[in-house]
Formats: sequence, structure tokens, C-alpha cells
Amino acid sequence: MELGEEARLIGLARGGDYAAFGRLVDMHQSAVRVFLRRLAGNHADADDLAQEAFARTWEVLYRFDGSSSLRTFICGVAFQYWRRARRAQNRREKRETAYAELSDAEANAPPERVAQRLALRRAMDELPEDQAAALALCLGQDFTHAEASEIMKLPLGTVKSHITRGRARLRVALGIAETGDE
Amino acid sequence: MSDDLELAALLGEAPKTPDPAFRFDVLSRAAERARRRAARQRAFRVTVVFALAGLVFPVSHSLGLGLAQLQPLLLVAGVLALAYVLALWTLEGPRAVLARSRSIWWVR
Repeated sequence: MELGEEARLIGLARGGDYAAFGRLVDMHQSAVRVFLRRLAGNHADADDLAQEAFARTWEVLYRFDGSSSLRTFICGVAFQYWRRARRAQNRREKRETAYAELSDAEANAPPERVAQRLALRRAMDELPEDQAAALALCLGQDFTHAEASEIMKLPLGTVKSHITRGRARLRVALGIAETGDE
Repeated sequence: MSDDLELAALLGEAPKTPDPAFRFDVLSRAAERARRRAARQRAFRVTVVFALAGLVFPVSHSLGLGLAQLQPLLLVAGVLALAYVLALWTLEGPRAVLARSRSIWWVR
């Protein structure tokens, strides 16, 4: 969709048009949901957070000044929600339920892929918040480093360093890199 | 780079198409939050109005004004309050005869 069309929809949504906001949700839900899925690991929790983030975006849309893309703006809101949720959640409990959650999502996947996913999920849970978020944003090339730095409100160099270190730790978790990679 | 994509895919894949159910849930959450916010604001407004109305008597008493001197002021305030309530009821009440006019004001 063109930027002009998006700007028109944003204008309508600011005026209270739910239909226009619904179209914006359709345009950006994929990026926000995959970002949160990679962070949270659990599709249901990720979608719940994504819905909260979109609902909050509806309230604070007047703050969007167009200096970044709307997708970046929404992901910034989503990142704040995820951070709050993660701090509220008991990490041990999360690890204990990780396998069950993965099993639900991967009913037909080969066992080795499930094992890889589980190892990756554990490694992600062990990462510092900012490192995990930087990886979730940039690993699949969904966001540029500059966009990630805007979403996370961190300097570009810090984001790049988070990605390099985080990637090394994930590769170690999968057994495809030596520990001295950092 | 393809390693990165593989890692990303293992961490979680994007939903393939826009999901109408997701959009519906977002909009209902947004509407619910707006309703709650409006209810909070209404409760705050009612509390402030009643607190101010309750303050009139002790303040006037401390200024040495009796009920007899306050009577014209209270009468005017009462009439204004009644007019306000009637106007509100006409615009937003259960049988809001001017609801269509209000929708013109809120038009985007």
C-alpha cells in the first residue's frame, strides 16, 4: 500500500474512524505479530500482546508525527508491552511450560526441529531483554537496524552489537558455532 | 545471512495473511478501552461537581454569608444545573432527540 494511502488512513483513524484503523491493523499485524512471536515464543501470548499494542496505538495515534514509519511506531508500543509482561512473568514458570507450548504449535514437525526450537527458545529466554528484542526484529530481515534502534530507543551501534552477540549465543545453543564466537 | 533467516524461522514465523479475527479483537479491545476511559472521566466529573456543590455551603458560611443572602445565587445555580442536565439528557439520554445533531459535531 502506498504511503499516501496510509497517511490518509491515519488521518481518518485519528478522527475516530474504526474502519480506517482496521485497515491499518491489517497492513501491520503481520510484522507486529511475528516480532512478538519471536520474543514471547508462545503464539497466544504474542497475539494477546499484539492486540493490546494495537489498542494502545489507537489511543496514542495523535503522538505519531510521521518521522518514522507507522510499523516502527506500533512495534515500539508492542516492545514496551512485551517488556512489561516479561518482567511480570515468572521466568522459571515460563521455561517449564515452553515445551508444551512448542508442542502445540509443532504437532506435525519433525522431532529434531522441535528440539531445535526448544533449544532456541531457552536461549532466547536467557538473553537480556534488549538483545532478544534486537534479534526478534532484525534476524528475519523484517526490520533494518535503524528501525530497530528507533523501536528500542537505543543507539544504532548498541543494536548492532546486541544482534552480533545474541546471534552468537543462539548459534551456540543450536550447536553450530563455538562458544568463543563473541 | 540464510542462517539468520533459518534462525528467525525457528524462532517464529509470520502469519501468512491478515487475519480478520485479529482485527476484530483489536477493534473490540480499543472500543472497550475507550468505554472504560469515558466511564472514568464521567465518574471524575460527577465527583468534582458534587464536591464543589458540597463546598459552597461551608465556604459561604466561613465568609459570613447566610442562607438568605445565598438564596438568589442558589436559585440561579439550580436553574443552570437543571438546564445542563436537560440539555445532556436531550443529547445523550436514552431517547436522545438531538442525537443526530450531536453526530454532526463529532463528524470526522
